[in-house]
Amino acid sequence: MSNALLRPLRRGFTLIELMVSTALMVIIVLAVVSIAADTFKAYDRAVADLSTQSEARSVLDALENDFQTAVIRPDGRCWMEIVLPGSASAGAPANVPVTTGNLNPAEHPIILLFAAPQDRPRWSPVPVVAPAVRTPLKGDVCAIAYRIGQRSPFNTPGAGNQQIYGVYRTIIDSEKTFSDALPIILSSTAAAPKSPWDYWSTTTPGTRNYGDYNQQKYVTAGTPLINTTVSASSGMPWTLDDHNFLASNVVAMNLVLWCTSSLPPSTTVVTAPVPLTDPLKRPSLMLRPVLPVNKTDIYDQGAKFGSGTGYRAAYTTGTSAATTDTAPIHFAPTVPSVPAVVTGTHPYEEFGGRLRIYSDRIYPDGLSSVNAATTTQLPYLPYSLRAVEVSVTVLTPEGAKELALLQSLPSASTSANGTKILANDFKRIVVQQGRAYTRYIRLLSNGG
Amino acid sequence: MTPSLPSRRRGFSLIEVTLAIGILGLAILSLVGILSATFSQVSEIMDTNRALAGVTRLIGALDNPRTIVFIPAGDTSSANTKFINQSGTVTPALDPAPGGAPNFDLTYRLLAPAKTTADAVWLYVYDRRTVGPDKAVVTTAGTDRYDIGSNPSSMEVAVVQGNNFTPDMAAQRNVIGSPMRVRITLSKLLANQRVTVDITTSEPSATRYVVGSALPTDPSLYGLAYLPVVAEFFPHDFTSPDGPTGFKTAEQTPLLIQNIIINR
Repeated sequence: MSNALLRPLRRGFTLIELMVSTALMVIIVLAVVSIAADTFKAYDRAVADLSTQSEARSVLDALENDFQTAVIRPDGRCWMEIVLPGSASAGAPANVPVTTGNLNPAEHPIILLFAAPQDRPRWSPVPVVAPAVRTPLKGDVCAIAYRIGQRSPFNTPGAGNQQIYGVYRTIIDSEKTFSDALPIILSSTAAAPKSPWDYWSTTTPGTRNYGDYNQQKYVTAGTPLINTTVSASSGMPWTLDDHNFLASNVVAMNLVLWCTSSLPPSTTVVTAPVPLTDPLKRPSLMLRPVLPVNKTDIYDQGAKFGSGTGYRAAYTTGTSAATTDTAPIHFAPTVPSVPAVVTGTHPYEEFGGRLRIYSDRIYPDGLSSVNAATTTQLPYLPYSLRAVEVSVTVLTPEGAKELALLQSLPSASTSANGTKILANDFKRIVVQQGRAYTRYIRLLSNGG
Repeated sequence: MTPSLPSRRRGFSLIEVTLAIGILGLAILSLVGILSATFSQVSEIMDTNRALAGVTRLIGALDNPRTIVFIPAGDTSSANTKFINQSGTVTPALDPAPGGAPNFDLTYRLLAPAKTTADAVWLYVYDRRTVGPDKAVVTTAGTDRYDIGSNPSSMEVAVVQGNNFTPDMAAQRNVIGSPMRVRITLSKLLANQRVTVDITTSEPSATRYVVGSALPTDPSLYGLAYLPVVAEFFPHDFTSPDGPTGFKTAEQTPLLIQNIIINR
């Protein structure tokens, strides 16, 4: 008996069957791969959206909480201030910090205010010595500062290849605010005006103990709350302590301050103080924007009046044509006609150094009530701040990864510690991988 | 014993193979379907969050209606955009000559006609980049170039003539993502309120408001210190407002419903 006879007779696939089934399989595999690729793309986008939104939300929620409970008393004193890092204008405050990494000054303003947010410290820190008992804090008004900083989140904040942009919110408890910050504001006079910057920038904090809430790992005694940058593992400002960290990969925090004016518009600048008119002749009963601009680029105020360039925050009732590019903040058909500048400074709706906000007036840059440029101009904007529109730009995880990679390359670094990359690379990453989130926040205490 | 004949086992037929592959394909597709449902939920979350941010902006805009922009029907150039208080925009004029009416009067004139869903006032709320992307990335001097690193965004509220906010309009205004379409109607909180002022006595008249009826045209004859409205947020998919498939008559579930009280 031959073995071949025992072997079962099995017919194989024909060539046609194989070809058809292979072709079908290829078509299906291609379809699945294509769908999978789309799915992964959608997944990446979803992750980017959710993670950036989560970061932005933590910043915007905190800002909303603080601006809505902000204290702006109509007592002729400055209760809120915005300072631009790296400002070189005549109105820049003393000890202003330099810019952070690749950021423009106008894109990471330092916001200083007083507010009574729900998440303020309610108890004193536990003393390190016995009796280790904490006590409830009196009062509710707290000094608060926001800034975008760049540091390593690890043990050595100045480490060169781990520099991450982040928003830091510093809140001083109500008792320390009462004992240290409020006396500075309340001692303000027309002859010697004071503002929140005087509290946050002082280099002689004395016996202040603002760092009690953590181990004060890097904060050294005598360091101002806000100073220059993180350069080493010591001497770091308290405002950049990890205790104050709010959100990462935030590369811009743009502000538009919406104000009303109680003054009627004018067609010419008239002699102050009587009759008082709005020097920028905006239509009455209309919110007007005030916003920071970069002093370091070509669009600063120096060029504004002559060439017509600048970030135009326009409102007008004119009818001639223009585009959103020439009036980008909120569209207006024509660029507003700004009264001719006589000499020196003029109260304009843009600032490049600091903005001091009072209940019923705003001092951009170096203007003050005792330092008007001429007697024919109002030395300040006769505006009340009603709302703040904040736009934060957050890098996606992909963008953050690429930024970190470029920062770690020695050839790409244009400064020490790997804090900067080439400007065009940075701009490309922000344009491609930045997600912008906006919130319009009303200042309830100032009639917003 | 003669050896048994070898059993004949036939291979899979073409139909069997096709069926098997078809079933496999269906299984994979259904899996992908589940994934896409997840992603559409993510998108819905993003839209809802955008709507939540839009609520605050909308309330601010209704309190300060002179910040609401007016876009003419079929506009393809942002150069024609005005604010709703300007002449030649909303009719009848919200701020008739000599102008300078209180903000509440403008909002009242805009929203008072929205007595039923059919008469609803439609507003658009959207995030927009400050300038177009081509204007924001230039580092050298130029007449209309902006050295804005991140090209920040701001929120805008718009009235569109004919309610048809087109993709062209969105592109002109550098809109990010999909805009929100907001349907505003008068709130039922007005029911049984004495909303009309009697011009002979300057007191609220005895007539009580019936839901769906008209409010006084003149804001000075409106008897309450506030105007309650309901705002329903929908993602705007650039469909037409009118016609059998238009969004004005379509059954839609809003992303968000918000009661808004506008104070005098």
